Amino acid sequence: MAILEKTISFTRKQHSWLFFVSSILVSFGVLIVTIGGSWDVTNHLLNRPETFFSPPHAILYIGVAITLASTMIKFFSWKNLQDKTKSQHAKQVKLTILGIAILVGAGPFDFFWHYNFGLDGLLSPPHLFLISGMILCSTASMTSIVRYSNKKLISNFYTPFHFLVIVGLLAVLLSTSGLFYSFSLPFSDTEHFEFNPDQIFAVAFTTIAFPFLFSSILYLSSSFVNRKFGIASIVGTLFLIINASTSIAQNSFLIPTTGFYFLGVIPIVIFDVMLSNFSKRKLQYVSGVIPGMCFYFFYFPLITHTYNEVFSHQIVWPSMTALIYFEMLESVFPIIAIPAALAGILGTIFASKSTQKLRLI
Amino acid sequence: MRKLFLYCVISVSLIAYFSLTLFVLPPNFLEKPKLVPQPTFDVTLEKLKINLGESFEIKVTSNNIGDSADIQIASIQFPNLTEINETVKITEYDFTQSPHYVLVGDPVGSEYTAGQKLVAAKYPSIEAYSRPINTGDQYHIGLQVMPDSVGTFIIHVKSVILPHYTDSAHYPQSGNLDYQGEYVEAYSVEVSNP
Repeated sequence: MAILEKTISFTRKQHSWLFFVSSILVSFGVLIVTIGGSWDVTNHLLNRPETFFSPPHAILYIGVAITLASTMIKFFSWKNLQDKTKSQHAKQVKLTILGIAILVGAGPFDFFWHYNFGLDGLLSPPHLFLISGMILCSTASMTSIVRYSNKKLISNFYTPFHFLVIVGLLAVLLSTSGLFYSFSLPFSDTEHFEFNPDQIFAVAFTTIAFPFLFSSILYLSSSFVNRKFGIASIVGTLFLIINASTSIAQNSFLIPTTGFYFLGVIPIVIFDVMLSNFSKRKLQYVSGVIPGMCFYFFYFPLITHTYNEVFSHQIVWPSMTALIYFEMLESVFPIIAIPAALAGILGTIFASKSTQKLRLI
Repeated sequence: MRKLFLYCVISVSLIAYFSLTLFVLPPNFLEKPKLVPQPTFDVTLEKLKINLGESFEIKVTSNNIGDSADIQIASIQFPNLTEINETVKITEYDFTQSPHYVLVGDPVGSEYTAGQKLVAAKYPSIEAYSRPINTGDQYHIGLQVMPDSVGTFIIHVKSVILPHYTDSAHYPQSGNLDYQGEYVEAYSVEVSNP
């Protein structure tokens, strides 16, 4: 009997570990999908791919496969968790299943759309399905990761858990950025459908939504680990690396801007330093001004297309993107700086309120 | 004291960051000379005279001898035709994008404005194009043409690189203008009764 109990207990431990690993893999899968998606957008701008079967689509669907397999493992391991732990993660598991169902369904839907209407724009029903599924999966998995490793995350020392939570945060940041791009970039005017957002709406939305998102994710990165310096800096820097790899390095005309782009590490690290050193809540909130005001630099080069529609009205050729971006900087930055800074503060307040709920404290 | 030091470091770093990104670095990118791509092409006509019912081959080799750019288009127009149908067949093609068939009446860009100024196509054409286009890139298109009437069969060829900011971005740079207000090189084949 004792041996049997030991076996069950060991098996439960294994399941518990498996649940955590599969949650990370779900986030990792979504991260791969977002990388493929971002590369796909750049590929469309540069090469106009004429077939569904392109390398970025392959990456994207490899990500979907990883997410699908991990979700299945997550579900079966969750079923074998202890009742108390099981109920803590129930909502996340359901959301992940709903997310993967939408994500998997988006594949054939996308193929059907390409087959019937040719190349689709950025904002199309199958793409919206895909992104919604990604956001559901990544948010649910990030919550699972944080709840599972909460005790270790708030300890005074760095553990591997601190670094694993980065995957979850990055997946949420990139998938939500994808959704925001869909509602702001003018890439959705196709032969059969005109889904481009209104230009003024797109600019206003970009100016509020992106700084809000960036500062809230960086704030969460810091608050999940009890304001230890480092994790927010890593999350922000990895975002810059991924964006540079998929949007800048692919376009040979933008490669000279790489140094300029990576200066973005400075405000990210400063924000992290402020969060880890300022104990007063109000000061922490106000520090959201920094990632808020810098979003115009973090989201280079794609953001150029949105602001060009209102401020420049040129054809944004891949070879001209940097020139148009820097030409607009002088007129755009003074207009967006204050609303973006306020959105950054709102992002930190939102993240602060969400931290408790996400951690389940 | 530690707090004061921290405030100083944060302030100096932020001033440095915003100075670099708003004032110091942008002029470096704005002052860069604009790229000057330069298209050319070579045309090989297999025959100058044929009998009705026979066909001839035309090969166009398109080059970019200038800077890199976004798109290079080689356009081959058929002023004698109202439809391409079976008269023209593509026998060779290595441009990176699929060829685009322009039909009579289609809206097409004019005066090198990249589609910002449109006119209706007066005769059919085939547009071969690659994107992006690097210095020294060379692409080929070969056509087999079987005219369906006796007389002089005319073919216009031109190449345009986009974005088009200087006269160097099109070839030829003088000569005959087509209905798009763009320069073309004209080639002809005499078609006679057998």
